[in-house]
Amino acid sequence: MKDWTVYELRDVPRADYLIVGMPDAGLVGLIASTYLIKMLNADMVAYLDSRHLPPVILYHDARPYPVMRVHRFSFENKDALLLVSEVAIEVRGMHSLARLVVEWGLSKGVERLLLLGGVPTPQRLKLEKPAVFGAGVTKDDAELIEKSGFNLFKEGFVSGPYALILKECYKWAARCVALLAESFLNYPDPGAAAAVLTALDPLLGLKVSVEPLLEQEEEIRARLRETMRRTMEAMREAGKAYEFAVPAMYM
Amino acid sequence: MEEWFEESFRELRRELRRLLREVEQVFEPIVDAESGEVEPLYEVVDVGDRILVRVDLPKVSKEAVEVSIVGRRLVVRAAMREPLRLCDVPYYARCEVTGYKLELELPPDVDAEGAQASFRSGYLEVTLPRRNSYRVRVE
Repeated sequence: MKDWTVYELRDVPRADYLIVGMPDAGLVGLIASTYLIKMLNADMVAYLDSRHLPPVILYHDARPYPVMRVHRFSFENKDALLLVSEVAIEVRGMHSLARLVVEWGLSKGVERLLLLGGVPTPQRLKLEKPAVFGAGVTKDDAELIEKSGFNLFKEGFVSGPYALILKECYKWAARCVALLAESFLNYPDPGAAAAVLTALDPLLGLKVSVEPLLEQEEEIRARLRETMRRTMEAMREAGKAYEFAVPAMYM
Repeated sequence: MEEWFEESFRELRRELRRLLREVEQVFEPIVDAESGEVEPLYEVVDVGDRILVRVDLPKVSKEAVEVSIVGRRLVVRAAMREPLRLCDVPYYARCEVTGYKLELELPPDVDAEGAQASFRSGYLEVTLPRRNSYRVRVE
């Protein structure tokens, strides 16, 4: 049995971007991508399955949904695929998942992968507006990040599924930007998710109103308490603590 | 051969740990059916001369937060402004989530009388100084 399989519900045509939202620090990627799906009414076009996923299926509006899905939407003459996972991925399944995500994205002709997430900071409570960092792979990515007015992620470790997707893109010399907003590590952080979503405008030309998200901030925090708790377990295994270390090369 | 055996053994141990954690999580009650209280997300940070307890309390107003130290236990209770309605999720269908309750065992050297707390944007921070904390002069 293959580690991961993509099941396309219909023929998925080529797209310009593959956006990824996985549960991680502050659940930023999960909150941001779920909000995008709702706001843009993005259709589910495919889903991923694997023995590395917990034995669960999700029900929403009385309909079954796989926990790891690909949605599709269009904006400004561009098409985007959006991969969202409702559950954290166990470490053993991350490598093969990253390989599959990049290979599948490139097979759909995407020009760039965008990973939505958070970078934990102990000062988060004091920040009214979290800053957004961009970790790129190619020279093009770095130029785009700087042109868009974000902080270039210059030093430090990225860990977890995004680290492996970035590494896979590095192997393929594929364009990829991880958009990481300053966030809480262990509390759901809709404020950081709003910062990441706002960053999609200068980066892709995708305008998303984040006011409704910010209005529901406390409700979302209360609802996602259990998801955060379970994601913390996966983050511990994925070596999240590396992100607090200063690399030896930074001397 | 030996390496393969060791790796298999390590794998087995990892799997057992994971299963044990899953079982513990599955059977831990999430919401108190009587009071409608859940345990909030929290963290405990030891900064040497004091201990910080940070608690996530969304949907709560400052006036509703009660912090007390009973013996060696820190107790935080907070009622939500309005209940969290999750009626469509069967687990929560018959009980509303109305607030939070957190109980933590404190280290023996905590100075309960010197404890302070602040609340901002739904986050509570309790600062608990240690009793026998001396600053050592560095020459």
